[in-house]
Amino acid sequence: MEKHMAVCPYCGAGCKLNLLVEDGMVVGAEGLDGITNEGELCLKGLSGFDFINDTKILTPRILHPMIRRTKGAELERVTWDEALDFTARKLTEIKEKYGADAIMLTGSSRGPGNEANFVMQKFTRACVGTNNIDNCARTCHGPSVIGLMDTVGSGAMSVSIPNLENADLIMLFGYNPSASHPIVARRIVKAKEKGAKIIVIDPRSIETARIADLYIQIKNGCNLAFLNAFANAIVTENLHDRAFVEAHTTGFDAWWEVVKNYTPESVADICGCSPEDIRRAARLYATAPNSVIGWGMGVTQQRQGVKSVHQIAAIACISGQIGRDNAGLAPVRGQNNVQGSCDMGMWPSLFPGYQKVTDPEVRAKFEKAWGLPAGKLSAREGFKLTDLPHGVKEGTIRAFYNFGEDPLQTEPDSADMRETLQNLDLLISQDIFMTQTTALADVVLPGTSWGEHDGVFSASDRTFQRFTAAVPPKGECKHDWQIFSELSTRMGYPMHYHDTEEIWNEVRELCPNFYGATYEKMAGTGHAQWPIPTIECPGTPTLYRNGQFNTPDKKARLLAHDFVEPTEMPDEGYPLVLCTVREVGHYSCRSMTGNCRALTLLADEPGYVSINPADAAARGIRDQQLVWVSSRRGKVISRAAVDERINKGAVYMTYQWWIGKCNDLTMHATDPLSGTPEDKHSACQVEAIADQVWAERHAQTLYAQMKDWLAGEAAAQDKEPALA
Amino acid sequence: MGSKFVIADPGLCIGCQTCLAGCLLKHSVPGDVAVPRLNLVTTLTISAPIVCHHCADAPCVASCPQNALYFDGDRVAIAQERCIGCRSCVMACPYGACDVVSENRVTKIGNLSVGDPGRAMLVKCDLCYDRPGGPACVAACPTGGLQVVDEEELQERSRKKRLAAAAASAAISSVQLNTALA
Amino acid sequence: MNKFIAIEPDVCIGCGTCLAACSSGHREAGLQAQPRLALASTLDVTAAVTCHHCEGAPCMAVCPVGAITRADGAVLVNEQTCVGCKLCACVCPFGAIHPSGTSIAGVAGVKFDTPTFPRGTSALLSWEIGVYTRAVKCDMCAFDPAGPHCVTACLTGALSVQDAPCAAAARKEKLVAAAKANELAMRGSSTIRRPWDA
Repeated sequence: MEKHMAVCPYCGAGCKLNLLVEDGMVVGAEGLDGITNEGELCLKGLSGFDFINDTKILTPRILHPMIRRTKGAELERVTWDEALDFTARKLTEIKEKYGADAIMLTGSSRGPGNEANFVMQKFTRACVGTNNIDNCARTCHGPSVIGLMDTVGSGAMSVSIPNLENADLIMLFGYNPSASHPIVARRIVKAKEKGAKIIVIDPRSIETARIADLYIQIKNGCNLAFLNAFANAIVTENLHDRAFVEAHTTGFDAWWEVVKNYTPESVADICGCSPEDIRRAARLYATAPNSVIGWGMGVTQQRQGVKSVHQIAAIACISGQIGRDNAGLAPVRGQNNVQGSCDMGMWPSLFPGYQKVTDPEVRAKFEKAWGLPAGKLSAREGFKLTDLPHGVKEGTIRAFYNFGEDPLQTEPDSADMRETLQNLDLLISQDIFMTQTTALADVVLPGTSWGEHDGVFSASDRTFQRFTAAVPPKGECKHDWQIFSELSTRMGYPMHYHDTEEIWNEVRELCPNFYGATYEKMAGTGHAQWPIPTIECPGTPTLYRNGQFNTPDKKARLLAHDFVEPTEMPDEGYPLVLCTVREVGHYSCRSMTGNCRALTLLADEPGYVSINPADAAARGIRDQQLVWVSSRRGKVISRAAVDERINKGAVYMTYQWWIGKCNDLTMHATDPLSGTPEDKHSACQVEAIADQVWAERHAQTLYAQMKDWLAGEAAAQDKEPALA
Repeated sequence: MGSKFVIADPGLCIGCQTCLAGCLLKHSVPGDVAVPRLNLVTTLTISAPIVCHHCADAPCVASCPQNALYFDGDRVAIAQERCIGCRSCVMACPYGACDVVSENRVTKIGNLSVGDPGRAMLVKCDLCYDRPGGPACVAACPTGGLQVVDEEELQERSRKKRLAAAAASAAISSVQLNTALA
Repeated sequence: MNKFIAIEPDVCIGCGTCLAACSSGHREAGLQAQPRLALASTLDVTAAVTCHHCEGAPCMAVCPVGAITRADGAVLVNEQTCVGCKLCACVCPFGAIHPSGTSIAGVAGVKFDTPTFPRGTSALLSWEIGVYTRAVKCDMCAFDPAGPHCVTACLTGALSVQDAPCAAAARKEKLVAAAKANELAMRGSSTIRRPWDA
């Protein structure tokens, strides 16, 4: 049996593992002693490997390039040459007719890795000539990146995941690690075992509430009011670190002008909790020797995501709970390489290494490195992923290059997204599976899967780790960086790399903060945690030591804003809040985990809608029954999970399900400061279905139709291309 | 409240195991299991038999899925026929005072041995509720090191301690006390 | 004493990794892939519910075809002998038996499930055309000398094998602690005065 070292392709914890290979098939996975996982794996790391073998449980691997010669035609398998020539020609036509900015691209935050993403943004900027490159952080921790860059200067976790277990107090606000990052939850359990206090603030009684010293149940959508009151309590009880505020922050007075109005008593109704609990939590947090705040989508996928992050940063700064190994900010990034996507500049306003596109010196550096004439790189910040629907409607975006993403599954208001994708002049999809998005594409390019290529991932806590191939590529799958290079060459900007290490070394040369992260340092179970500016540097687990922030004046900016309620509130027609969350046994768009046997056995379509027992009883709904969930956008079938941990007045669905698709119900309203959708708060209704056997068959029929459709589109690849 | 239990005075315990023998003898009857319900613990510094506290909020009762353990007046009682030997009570008891043993009886039909799936028996102090004179272990102990503690006994002990504490508080009186009264 | 798997609920994060490991391990051994432990969650507790391999196992007592036997300290179902009567599942007080059979539904849309019962119906009551349902329960991974897969897979260490030495050791610890507490309880009221009682 062979063993090949890899990093798990699911969540951002960054667990090292071995892929076990026999007779050219991946047959198992075992944990390795990586810095964060210490030999442990969750069920996804353990059983989430068989999709590599093209199990076809959900949908087939794409193994050959395919195109639709004309819009709306059937998919036709072609050679790589023809596919790339076709793509290059089409992109060039659109660029000449509408300008480079009419082309939108998205990087992949999953299997491909940092090197592939780097080459893609280089293609986007040096070849296509636009900054219209984004990644799924837009839908995720984008507000954290933006909010933290506004306040403390850097958008990442300020502490490392292993150090969480040594904190004295961990406060989780809108974050459910047991479902999103079990290996992070393990550290929180260990912290509790070591005597740490845990505070959980969440509308649902999440797993961690069971070991919390204080659990505060809040209403959905009250975040900024709560955080303002929390900050208010700290200051009015004199628990803030005046010396730290004086020496290391700016803007306290203006900040206080807003916060002073948010007494805990004044927000009790909005937040649905007692003012005394807010004060208790504030006291515990501010007075503990080392406190960490962990947050997730509960904060970011809301109308005031960025503003809430501003306040979280302020709370940590005024309390002096930042810049130490066990005290700081923990926006735990979701996917295994979403941190990497941002690190590699898959962002409309940033080059790799968080260098601004608007900075002429930065542009000059990249122009020189990339052999481009001065002034070639665009200074204009590009479109965000969430601008896509609007851009297509207006005609400002004509082409979309989708890389390792499934927006039809993961973006809000799928009906609108489907219309968007169908109205593009050109949709290119480079992926490993025939997903719902790829099935609509004009050009389908088969990339190699995780397990078939090498690279580097960035874990949530800025830790670079290497992963290696376990089996050879299937069919005609090509490495993603190879595809971009060949496309770019055809479009007039030649690119050629021998391997990922060559690409990585180019990244290191261009990004001062990553320079010390060599392949050697990351060999085996090694790692390199940026900032790592020199070869000698061992990596940086903790940011902002001694109150030195990454802002121009080295000080943290305190920013406060007034609370505004979410865009769509429940009403008579749609009386329940719909909140979309994660489940632990499947990941993101589910094209990978849905093709794994053990994971599919544990959870399958149509997925669940978790509902409070009183709300269920009022609707005549019993546990495990199929129900209709509807909103102003659509109606789907789902299975009721009657759960006393859920708060009254809200229901929760996970975004993994293709039939029980919650994004058919969510709406495309975004935080204006980040473009991140309000996935956590829209209005819906849930209704019982009288004939349950009919409902079961209906759900199965829809599922079979979905699988048939995707298998049908993929079947085009079984027909060999006609000889030229 | 109002339960009784047997407790040892470690000062008087000589580790002679006579309490174990007394308990075993009392339970050596048909339908019962001849295993002592006390557990003698000997470490470098202590000798003492540990036995069920007949807790008012007994975790063993809470953990039993078959109601084989239940509250009966001043003790936690056993319905032996209900026990399936799942050992939840063994894990739940914080004193380790509860145990389960299994008998593998063999039934014979003529000369044919037919195995029995196994009969589980709960081993836990029953306060010798059916023994005139009370707990056999208390009677057996040669140093008088075991005693039954009931509500009355607990009250008496507390009363003595409070009296002693009150007397000691004379030391902090803010006004000179009349010592001629003692 | 029979061995069994015990759960420490405080450390359980409800992630289901134990279920996945159980399922994969048994599937690879040619046995039913249904997980043999289940996750239960309430407002106060999350825990994996496991078979206790009872000393006087009611499932074994009630099986009409002798499919449940005791071997090597575990209570095992012979999946071939079992006729799927589900009496054992009815009688188990822990709900640790999970009747299950291999579905006839195919993959990639070629054939699909034709449910005859709503999926919410208890496995004890539902029946699907062509599926031979049989009792599926924890076998302590008897097929694998390395032992139970769920215990190794659990990432917080919430699951452990309790065998006779383990249980005896745990009990011994409790007894010693109780003895120490006893000593403290009696200090001052013991009839023997010891040097440190003064």
